[in-house]
Amino acid sequence: MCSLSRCQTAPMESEPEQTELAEGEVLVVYRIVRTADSESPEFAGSFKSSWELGLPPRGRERTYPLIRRGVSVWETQEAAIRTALSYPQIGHYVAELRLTRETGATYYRWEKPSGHLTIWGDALNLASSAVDTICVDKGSENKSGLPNTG
Amino acid sequence: MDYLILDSAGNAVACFEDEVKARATVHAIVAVEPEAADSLVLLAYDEDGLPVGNAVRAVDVPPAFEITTQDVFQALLKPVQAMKLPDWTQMVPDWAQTKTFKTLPVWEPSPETARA
Repeated sequence: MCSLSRCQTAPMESEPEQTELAEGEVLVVYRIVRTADSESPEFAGSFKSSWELGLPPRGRERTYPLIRRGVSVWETQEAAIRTALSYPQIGHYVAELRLTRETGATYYRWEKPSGHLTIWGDALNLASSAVDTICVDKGSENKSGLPNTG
Repeated sequence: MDYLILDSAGNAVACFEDEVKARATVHAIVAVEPEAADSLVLLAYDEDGLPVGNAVRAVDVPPAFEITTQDVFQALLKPVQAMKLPDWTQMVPDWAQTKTFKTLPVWEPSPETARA
């Protein structure tokens, strides 16, 4: 039987410590992606870090470069959906990921905001751990069950 | 409320509990790298980790500090207030400080004058 991950929170005053998943542990997180087509290169591209995308380091990424090599995810689907609605430029879809030790991913839970994590891992592996993707586009059918905001 | 700075890939760059600090950081980043103005956003989150309102592009983030007319006057008056003014009581001679003055009688018109 799998147990959902629990870890310690830590302030962002130092380089984040990557936490590995234990054997049998499953970490369910949600990532905002640009397409629902899991076969599309754009889908895997949505799991690339800012470093892999060649984006310049900003803010604390300069002090703590590890952050730049990870991707932001949310512990709840609602937080991911609402973030996608608030910032539609980053994607209109939310993918549900089930990360296990076999995925090879590590994570860091930010102290604030609640439920925000950075995960590290190979973009293809992360993409292949997606079990479901929903559309959150304001203009299209809302499959999330959440009310459209804005 | 928490304030998260996200880049164009949707990855968090920094998070602050203080809005002024978050805004100041956004402006500091843009001051050094003007191209970041179009690629960073500031997003507020409530205690439950849910976003509040829409993401604000770095270029549209209000300044961290607003200067009012009152602030300007206070800044101008500050050096004057900081000046050490002399103690005027020390310049009054001792006799003036200790002398007591008799109260003079109040003038009142005579009954004849009042009738006239």
